[in-house]
Amino acid sequence: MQLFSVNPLQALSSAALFAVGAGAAFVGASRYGLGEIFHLGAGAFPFLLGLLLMALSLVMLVAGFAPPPQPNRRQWLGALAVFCAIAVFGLSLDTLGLVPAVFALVLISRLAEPPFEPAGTFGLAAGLSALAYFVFVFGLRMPLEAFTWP
Amino acid sequence: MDFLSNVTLGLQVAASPENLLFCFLGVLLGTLVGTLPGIGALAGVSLLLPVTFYVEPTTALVMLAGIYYGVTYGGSTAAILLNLPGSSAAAVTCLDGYPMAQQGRAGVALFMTTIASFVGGTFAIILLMVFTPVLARVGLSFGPAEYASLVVLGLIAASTISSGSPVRGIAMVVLGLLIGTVGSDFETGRLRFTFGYLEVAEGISFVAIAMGLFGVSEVLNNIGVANRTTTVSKDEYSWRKLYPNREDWRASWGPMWRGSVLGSAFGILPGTGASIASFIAYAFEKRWSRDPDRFGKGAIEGVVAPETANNAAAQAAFIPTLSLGIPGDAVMALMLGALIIHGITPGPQVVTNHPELFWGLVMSFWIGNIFLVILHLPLIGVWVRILLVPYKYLYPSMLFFICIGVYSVNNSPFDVLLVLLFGMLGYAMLKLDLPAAPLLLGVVLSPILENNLRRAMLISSGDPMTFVERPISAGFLVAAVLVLLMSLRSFRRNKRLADGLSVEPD
Repeated sequence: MQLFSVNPLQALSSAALFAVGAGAAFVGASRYGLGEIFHLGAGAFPFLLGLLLMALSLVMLVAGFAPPPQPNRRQWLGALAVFCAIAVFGLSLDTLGLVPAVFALVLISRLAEPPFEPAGTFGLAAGLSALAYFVFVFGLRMPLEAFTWP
Repeated sequence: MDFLSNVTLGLQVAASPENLLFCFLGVLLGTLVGTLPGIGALAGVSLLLPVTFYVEPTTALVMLAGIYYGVTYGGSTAAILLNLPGSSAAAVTCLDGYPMAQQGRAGVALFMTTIASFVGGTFAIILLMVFTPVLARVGLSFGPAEYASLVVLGLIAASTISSGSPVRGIAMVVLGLLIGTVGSDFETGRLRFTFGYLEVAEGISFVAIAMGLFGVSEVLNNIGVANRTTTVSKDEYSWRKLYPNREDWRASWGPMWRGSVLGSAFGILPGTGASIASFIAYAFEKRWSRDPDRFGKGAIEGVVAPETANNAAAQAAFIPTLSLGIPGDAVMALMLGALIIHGITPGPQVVTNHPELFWGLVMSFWIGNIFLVILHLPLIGVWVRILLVPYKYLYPSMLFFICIGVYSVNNSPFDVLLVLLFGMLGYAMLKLDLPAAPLLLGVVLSPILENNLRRAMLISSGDPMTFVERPISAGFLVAAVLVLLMSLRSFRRNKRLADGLSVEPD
């Protein structure tokens, strides 16, 4: 039996946290100012947290680790579809309008769980668009338009 | 202070038409979220945070709290009927609830869980009314050093006790504290870690963090999982089949009282919430029973005890949150976040400075619990049918509410992209076994910790020994160290146990 083994995922999370901690400690100390011991500056708290995070990331390397189940190909693609759906929604809300944004969100995110079933999906998108328009634009007077394209 | 006049004030606030409406909406949505497998209390409360921007802080908390304890009521439905816990606090309810359903006693199980939840909730509300003002008065005497140490204790307890690995939990708290420093420094006004984005000068939108970490990643976690189609027949839930017989009643009183006490105790402690309380109550009841063999085969005590305990814990969790401003779990952190959004600094002064908020909220718990009983007993059939909503329509709707909700807070598409960022972070954390709840606690408590830390250092003229020389502060720190050592020990033991049991060669 080995003394300890380092799983690649464990190494990845440790490395990422170490990098974040080092960055925060460096920026905190060099840019924001540590201040004096009796009057701590804006950088002191991030500096301390950064050092702590670096130390913890090293301890994590030697601590036990039970890797959670990793996504299969379909789940990866599903996650990608959901991320794309949110991104497109955020980018199209002001440029194309509320209705196209909601349709994009529903249609793209529905790709994550095949089969696609066009009728139900378009119905859902239409229903949610109507809900969004009446509740948020009509009711709560959010500064959005149903369609903004010329 | 005059207890009676406070109660009267609370009743007046809670019974105002607006608060009644939002209390009802809260418990209704909570029941819905709790019933649906695949959305838990955290995701549910996160999703509905934006609604609170349109109402008074008291009304906002009344609704959010209603969602929270509504979830613990509703979670049992899926557990009993489908052997699928709608929320983690209902997981043990499956053990005896599902066998009861198979024996044709689903109606009785659902009826008794409603009564049990009501009893547990009632018990914890009384504790809440008595102890919160007392604790708050103690808290008012704390200086910055005591407060900083108390926050450290709260964070360590919440991140180590129930998480799989204490080190990973604490690392996430620290990451959360760092994320909480983004924006302008409260003293010098200097912008920190904004990377040139003025949108985060006031700090990263807490709603975006919660929705990304808990809403989006909950959707992602359920995608591509086997379909949960089910058939439930409607006529099983007629009133006649619901009503428990005299033996069921007699077997249930004991578990209800013991569940109330255990649940309240675990609800007050940071780091142990409704889920742990329900597990302990079940284990306790099994040990207490003269005939433990019946457990797991449809014993009514095995349903009543955990359901009483998880609802008692859900209400008791408000005691440290409202009296000291120290949230015991991520849902309580969301409540504090909602307070902060409304410009109310959480802490012991809330009870005295905002009596209408505290007493109104507490009184709304009574009303909400009564609403829940009314919602559940005659309408169980409706909730059963809600279980049949297919996930393929549910998750795009969830994403829709997340996106439009977060946009509505600042009318800013930038916040939608922040949700995307935190959704990705949440998903990565899920797959790297890094817990998300401690991160949120860190974000919420970061300004409070930093503020008190810096003030304590200023007062002591730069002597860090102030944290251990002041007795109360030292007590909190010793407790934090003890909690840490204890959780490390139990983690080691569990790991050895797991290593010994595993048959797979490495």
